Amino acid sequence: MQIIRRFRFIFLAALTLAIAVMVANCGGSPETTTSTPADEAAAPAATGALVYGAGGQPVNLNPGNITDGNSIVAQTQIYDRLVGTEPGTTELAPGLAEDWSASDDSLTWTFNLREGVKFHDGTDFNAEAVVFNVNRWWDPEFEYGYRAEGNLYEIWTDLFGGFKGDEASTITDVRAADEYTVEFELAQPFAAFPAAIASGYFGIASPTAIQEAGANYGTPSGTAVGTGPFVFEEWRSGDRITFSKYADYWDEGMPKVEQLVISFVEDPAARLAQLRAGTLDFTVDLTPDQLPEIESDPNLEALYRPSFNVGYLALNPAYEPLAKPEVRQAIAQAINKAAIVDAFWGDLGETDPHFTPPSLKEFQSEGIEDYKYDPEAAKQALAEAGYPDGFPLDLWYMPVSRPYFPNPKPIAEAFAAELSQIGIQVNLQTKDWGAYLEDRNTPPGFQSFMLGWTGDYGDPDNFLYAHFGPGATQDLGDYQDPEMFDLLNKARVASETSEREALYQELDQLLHDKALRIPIVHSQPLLAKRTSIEGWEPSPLGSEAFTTIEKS
Amino acid sequence: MGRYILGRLLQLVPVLLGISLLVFAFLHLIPGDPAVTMLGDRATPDQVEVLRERMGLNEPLPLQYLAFLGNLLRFDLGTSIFTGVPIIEEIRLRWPATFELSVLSMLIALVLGIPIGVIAAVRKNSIVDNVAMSGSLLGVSMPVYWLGLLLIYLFAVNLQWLPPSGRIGVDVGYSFKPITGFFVFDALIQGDFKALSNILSHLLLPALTLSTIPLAILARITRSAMLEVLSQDYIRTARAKGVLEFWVIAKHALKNAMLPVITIVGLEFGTLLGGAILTETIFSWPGIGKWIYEGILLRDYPVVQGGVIFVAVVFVLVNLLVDISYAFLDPRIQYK
Repeated sequence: MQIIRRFRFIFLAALTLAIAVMVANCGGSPETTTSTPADEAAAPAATGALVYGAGGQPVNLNPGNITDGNSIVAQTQIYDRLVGTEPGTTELAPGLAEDWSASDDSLTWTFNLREGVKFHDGTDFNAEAVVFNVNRWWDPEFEYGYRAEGNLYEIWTDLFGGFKGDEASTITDVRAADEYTVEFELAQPFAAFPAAIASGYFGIASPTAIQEAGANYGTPSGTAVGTGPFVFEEWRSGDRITFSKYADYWDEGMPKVEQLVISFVEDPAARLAQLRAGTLDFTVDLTPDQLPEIESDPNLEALYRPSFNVGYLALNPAYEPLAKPEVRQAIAQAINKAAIVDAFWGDLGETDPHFTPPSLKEFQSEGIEDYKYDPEAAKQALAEAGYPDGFPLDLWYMPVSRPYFPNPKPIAEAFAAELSQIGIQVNLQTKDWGAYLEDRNTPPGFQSFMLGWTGDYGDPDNFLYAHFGPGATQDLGDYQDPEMFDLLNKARVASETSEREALYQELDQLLHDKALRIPIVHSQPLLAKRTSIEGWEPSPLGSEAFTTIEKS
Repeated sequence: MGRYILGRLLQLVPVLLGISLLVFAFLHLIPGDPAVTMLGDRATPDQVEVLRERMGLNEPLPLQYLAFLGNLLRFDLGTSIFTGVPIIEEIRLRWPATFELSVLSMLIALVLGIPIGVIAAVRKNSIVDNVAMSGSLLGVSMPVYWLGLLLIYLFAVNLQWLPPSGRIGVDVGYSFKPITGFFVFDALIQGDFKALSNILSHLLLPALTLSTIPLAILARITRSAMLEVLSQDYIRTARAKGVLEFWVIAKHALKNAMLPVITIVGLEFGTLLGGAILTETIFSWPGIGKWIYEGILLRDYPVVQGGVIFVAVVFVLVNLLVDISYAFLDPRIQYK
């Protein structure tokens, strides 16, 4: 009795354990072994393979059929583009094409391809392969585009006006002039064409692999075959993609690691924890408040990706008080941009008077001085414009976080506080993201709103035409300005770089004076790596091939 | 019995219909055009139109619902707008990860929760009881997200005993070839014990995190059920007959206290099997929960829709099983 009394709780525990196992077995589990993890299961230090922590899994590995950053990063490892960029800049560099040039009328672009390059499946890279890839993106009738199965290639129309047969299509023909020469015919001159085709969306894939895989190409259960530094091995949905080094890569000596793993970790806090634990070697898109933690860990190092975005405050001239440029300028003057950027971004953001990011400096007018923060002068200007008592203003802030506006609401509140000083009664507004995007384009649109843009390719056209060009001013009450349109169109077709620079500089000044979309910030995404990683040079364009990275 | 099960299965029809209607309504009645929301800040009206057409958003709402329902009946949950992968296929790929995690979490919760509850009941109002009950209150109310990160920092970053996340390590992952997708099972049948220990070590932290809530609830329910049973006349009779206290508790009391406990086990297990969005996200666990989270991030409507329906159906089915199991546990319950 005494003995039993003493041990009764042990008996009880044993009994309930037995019940537990029985109940669990009823659930039909095939592996209800007593799962007491062994001590030897210590944190596996990832030896050898280079492990990158992505903010999510790619949408697909099908070039041209993506718009998101995670897909571009993964595709950049597998595919080369016709034109590449110099590491850490937006400057164009040879890719699969060794050089390129435009005809005198700027309507024909000729790309001379690298010879002797092979796809990972052993097939030859040549002009026919390029034409095949371009036709997938451009020609809705092309047999191997698999549009009926859901491929949209919407980014193509973003960058090149439209698909084959559309009136707005930038290109009218693509052909293989000989085995290693590709020619594009354009409907009108487009000076940024090589930069646009160099954007991360347009990797060149093996036509043979695409034909064999069909609509399955680039999905987790399919294949992905390019000429790039890494060979695609396996994609475990929701988990990781594994790659191995492409031994015959044309850029000799690259890549420097044998194996690459892209691990999908959506949560920034989890990414940083994994980096600190050593199961990730390098990662991206951390939040500004994680910077102190990175800096406190001696095994980690913080990096900034050069900015290639803009967060702006749009002032819609369709709203009567904002129709006068003086009023818009007064608003620009009343907002203390430097203080706001310092408060919300710290080292991760900078403010300047240009709509284009700093990496496109040669296209900016050096002479512009930003509106000096001066609420008194702003109030004065407002009075002279006929609004001595200010006016009510709806200011819309985004309901979601974006790199250019990580927390829109408090930023909007800061704007509102500044504007109230000059008598403008700000009414903060927001709505569901889809409705927000849609309604700003529905006349009369929002009176003022926050939004931003991350560039696709290293040319000011991608920033300026997309926001101030004909058809791009719907959210500014369909604002028409012949002078602005004229400059944009001229810069678009000019063939000489110096001429384009001059035109864009002139436009830069004009946009500053108009104060339609006031550039608030160019933010730098926060990245981090372990100190054992060397040779990572982040590109402003948001992705880079991990060829030069070494792991010790 | 057979008739009862059939009846219960038939009752599922209106329940599932209700779920499908709710899921459909949530996604279509929230403000903003799904196509615009999905394509984001750079979509042109043409692209939006193409996507609207593809998603069938141009049809009248009732027709859209009927089409959706028709597909549902054929187990066609559609395909992800972004990846083009059929929803059913994605569930097949992701569910084994969620299943393994759920089973281990439930085991931890049962093995710890029931004894804690029993002890607390037997030693009512003792220190043991107070500690157990306040501990379980903490377990129920602790945010999973926070607890998960805490465990990662303690065991993976500082002590380096366990891996912080994922299902399998990078190196082991290269050589390990899954067959069924149930990694523990796959490693066992291949006799790959190196992989097995690696997989189990990856399971432990998320399972612990996930088990806290069911554990705490189980402990509390077991305690209150035991207290009620222990005050019954037949317990007094048993004691009066001179039955050992151990057998009074283990046989007479515990078995009869199990009924409400089983109900909770079913509810909790059903919830777990549907995937835990926060835990799976924190631990990069490639299961159903993380998949739904990915779908929400991308605003991939078919994924969110399919995911929610799957979760609901699993929940309903597990609870059906629980109801049926009552008959075995309590002979007084008769099914007609």
